[in-house]
Amino acid sequence: MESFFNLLAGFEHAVSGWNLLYCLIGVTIGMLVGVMPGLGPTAGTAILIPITFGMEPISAIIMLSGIFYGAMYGGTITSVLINTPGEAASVITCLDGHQMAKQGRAGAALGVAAIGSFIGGTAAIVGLAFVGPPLARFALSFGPPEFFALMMLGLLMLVGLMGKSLIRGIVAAIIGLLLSFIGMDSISGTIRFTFDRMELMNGIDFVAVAMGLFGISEILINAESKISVEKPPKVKGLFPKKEEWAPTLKAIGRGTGLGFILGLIPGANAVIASLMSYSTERKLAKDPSRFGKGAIEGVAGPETANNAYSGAALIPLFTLGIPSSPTVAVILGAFILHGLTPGPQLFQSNPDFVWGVIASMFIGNLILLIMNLPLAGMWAKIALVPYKLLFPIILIVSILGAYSINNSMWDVGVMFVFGIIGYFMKKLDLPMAATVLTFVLGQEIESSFLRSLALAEGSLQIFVQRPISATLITIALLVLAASIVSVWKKKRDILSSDVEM
Amino acid sequence: MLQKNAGLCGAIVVFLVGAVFAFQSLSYEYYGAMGPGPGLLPLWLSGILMVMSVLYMIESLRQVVAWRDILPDRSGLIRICRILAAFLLFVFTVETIGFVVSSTLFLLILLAKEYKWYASVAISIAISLVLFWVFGKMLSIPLPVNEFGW
Repeated sequence: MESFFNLLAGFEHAVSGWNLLYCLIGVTIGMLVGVMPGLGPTAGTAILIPITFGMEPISAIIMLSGIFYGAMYGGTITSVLINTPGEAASVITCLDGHQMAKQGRAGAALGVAAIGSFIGGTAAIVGLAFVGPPLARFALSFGPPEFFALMMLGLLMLVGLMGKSLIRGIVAAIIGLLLSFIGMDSISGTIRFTFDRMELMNGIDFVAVAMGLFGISEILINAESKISVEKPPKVKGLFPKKEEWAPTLKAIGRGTGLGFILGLIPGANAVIASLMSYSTERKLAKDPSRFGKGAIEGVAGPETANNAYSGAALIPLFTLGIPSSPTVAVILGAFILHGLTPGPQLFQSNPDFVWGVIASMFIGNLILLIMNLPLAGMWAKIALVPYKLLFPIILIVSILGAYSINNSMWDVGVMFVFGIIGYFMKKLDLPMAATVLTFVLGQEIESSFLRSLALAEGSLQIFVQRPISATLITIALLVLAASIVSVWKKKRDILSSDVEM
Repeated sequence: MLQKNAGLCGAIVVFLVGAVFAFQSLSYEYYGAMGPGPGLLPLWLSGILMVMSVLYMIESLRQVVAWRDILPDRSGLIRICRILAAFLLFVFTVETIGFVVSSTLFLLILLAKEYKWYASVAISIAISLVLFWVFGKMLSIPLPVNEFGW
């Protein structure tokens, strides 16, 4: 019940003038980012952090999270209308959504996607509001060893479950950690790895790295091939047929549950959520052959799942301070920039902030529902803006953003270098998500590790002596073992195919 | 072999990065009077990184990722080099010739082939002026400027 009253108090903050405006701006930008192919939510959020510098923390986070879940709505529009996913998670929607559009049912596809997204997103936020505080209270009993164990678990899940190669995942994660050590060490005050450069005294700036790794590298990759878009079909009739409502609503229900659970797990991302929902719907459907030819559940399920995912992904961030995906890691960076440390203390020390943001997410989803249902056709026209004009503008705005971090061209240079690094990392399949997560958490990981060792007077046993951390470490090791086993199994597959050739 | 195997090159770069960090970590205190020091974790991590990079090298030898497969074709490569060149030009000239001019040149390089020359010039100048106004005047960010103040 306490949560309910806190939530009402939060609404008071969220609807106050400026915050409402920032929410609107955030979700609108999110829609734009989602609609535009070539710009994903991670890059969009990173590029827009510099704009939030002068804002109140609550307004900044309201806007940035608006971009995050708004992008999930926007990506659907281009997937359905022009068979071009505006962002990665909407790829699945192209399959049946575009087919429906070709059959003249674009409106129904978009309507169902909007409704499903709203239900999924809202359900996830309700989850956050009611699961969050008890989880945060539990985590208050966490000491340094527990935090370290938790971060290791999150990292190992990310590295173990995502990506083709466990080795490359670990490599990427360690690189992120080493990069986070550059600059002044918070515990001893020693200045490390600066190679005598003044600008590195406070470390490499997270925003510049995020903008480079995600924004610039994405633009470089897109520059390889010409992106061309077809004309979108007209949108009329927003709702599915009467007999389709029942299976649609069931698909939405399943999508919500699936997306919610996946959002809690670090290492999952929105693409996995939509993919799993699509396969689930296909397996459970009475007539699976309809899928791929315009099955409405193939749109309803995945779209709901990716919105439920983005709502739930904020739960580990708010309650434990652990980001579960790259975009959330970027939002974590924004938190730190504004002087807030997400984690269990946040609910205690800044309840106004937390509940204000949660309340704003409800409002944001509502705004998006209104924007999507009648205005879908208008959004689609935006996708027609030629990419060749768009990306130079994105680049110069990114340069301005990076410059404004410290009013120095150094950060522009950093962004540029990391853009190139990100480009090669994508090419070589080194998961950037692992690097950015460890980079953001690096100082925390080191300080909890060192403090744990100090508590135990140098012995590593402390991690297994305390029950919570022992449990977490055990699960982490199990995940590691499971991923090593799966790598071995794949290796055997590869070997056998070599022999057959 | 290095010329063909991109993964191997990547692994070697990672190894070198690990080595550099490891070498630097040796100059920081490993274990101090009050517990582990600033050199402990970096040393261990860079050591693990070097071991991992050797495993990565082995993995790259087994599953070869050729340069030819991952690099874009000629026109893609040219487009990318264009972007990089525009960036470098901007970074090296902005503090002397000012934001507006550098930004115009930057946009011009990227828009050159896409529109007729006078359209490209017009768009570049227009966007640069708008951005200068929004970021420099409205958001009061001290942009690098030339003697004329823009």
